[in-house]
Amino acid sequence: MLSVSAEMDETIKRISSRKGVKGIIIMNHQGQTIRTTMEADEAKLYAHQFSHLVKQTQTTNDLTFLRIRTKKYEVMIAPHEDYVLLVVQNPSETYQEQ
Amino acid sequence: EQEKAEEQHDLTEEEKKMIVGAPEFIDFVDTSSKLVERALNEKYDFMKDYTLGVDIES
Repeated sequence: MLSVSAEMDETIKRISSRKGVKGIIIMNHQGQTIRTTMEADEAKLYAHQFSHLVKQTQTTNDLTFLRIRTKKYEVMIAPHEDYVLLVVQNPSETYQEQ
Repeated sequence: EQEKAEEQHDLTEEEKKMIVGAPEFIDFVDTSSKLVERALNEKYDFMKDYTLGVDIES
């Protein structure tokens, strides 16, 4: 039974090791962190902020994917029925050399 | 806007373990990670020519 959870860890590790990726947060729709690669406090901040946004967007239609770009970072949000995956990355690193 | 003071408690290790072990959670991670990875594979930066002169602290 090593499989499933080990596979999941592997996936999380693979994404978080991508260039420019600052961290990953898996949370529920209440903004409670389930898994993260970030500092707990930082994760909480993002989780709180974006769970509100997801909730608001969710009222008229189910949001499937959202990408937000700011000067400092880019956040990808992939919500599902019960959970939400957040990936925070630094676009200046991700898209650096080509 | 009523700022609901329902300060969410952090999930306990016990609660997290329950969630993480559930099949629908595993499905979720599987699907959403694929989606995100595909997005990460997109190497074209559509903001590129418009962020010149914007100071990005890296």
